[in-house]
Amino acid sequence: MRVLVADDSTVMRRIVVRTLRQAGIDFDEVLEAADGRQAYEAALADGPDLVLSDWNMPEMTGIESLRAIRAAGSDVLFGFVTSEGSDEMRAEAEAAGASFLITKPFTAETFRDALEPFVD
Amino acid sequence: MSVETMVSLPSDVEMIEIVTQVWASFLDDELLPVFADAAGSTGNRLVAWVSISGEWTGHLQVTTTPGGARDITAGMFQLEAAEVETGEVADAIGEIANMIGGTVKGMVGASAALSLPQVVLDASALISPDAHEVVQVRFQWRGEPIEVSLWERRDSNGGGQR
Repeated sequence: MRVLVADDSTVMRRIVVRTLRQAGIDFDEVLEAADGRQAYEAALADGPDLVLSDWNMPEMTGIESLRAIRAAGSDVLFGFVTSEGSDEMRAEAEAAGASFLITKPFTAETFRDALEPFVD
Repeated sequence: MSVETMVSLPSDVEMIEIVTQVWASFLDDELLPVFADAAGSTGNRLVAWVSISGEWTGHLQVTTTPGGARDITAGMFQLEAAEVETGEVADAIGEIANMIGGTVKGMVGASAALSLPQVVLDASALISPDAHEVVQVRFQWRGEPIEVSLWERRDSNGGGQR
């Protein structure tokens, strides 16, 4: 599985990848994006199997990126990993085509619970 | 008569819970609050903050010493403290402020906007002229002080209530 991790924080991208490993999620390649525009471009150009994206990012926010990815015809599995998790944001994420929303701070167990229904 | 929207600000206990949860998740360590009034630090300090704008307007600020910031960064990146570079410090401490601020934002107004984090590495003389402190909690981690505070903008629409 190829995973695209989008977050403007370098340390958070590292922590997300580390947590995927700790959660026992099987992946063989990690792609990284440092803002929403890079995430949009990489999601379309590099064909990841899963996108894990922050919400609040420069250039394009995570939700703008997701909407652009869906508008371009991609149905890639997409989940948010964000410090904000209000009911309104969860509803907005779901309506735009996100499969789950994980709030920071998270644990390996949180990742497992969110991802297990979607990955082998 | 003016009608103000009152929002509920986090209590000290809630703020301590939010911050210690960040430490437990990403630094795999216990963070202990300090309740005694400590003398104000006269040394160099680093400040990271995020702004919250909406029903309540202000900012969430994280303050620590350069040594504390280096240790936090090393823990988050899983590096030795001596290997940590300045850009990594700004990234890690900014993300700490972002995580705590994101949680606080959810408590003070769902429709509020959260800014990207800002970090000042040498903030010894930095002040917040248009805001006053409404919540402050202090911790000590590996011998270094860490302070998390919430500042309300003076012309904030809704007066915060604790």
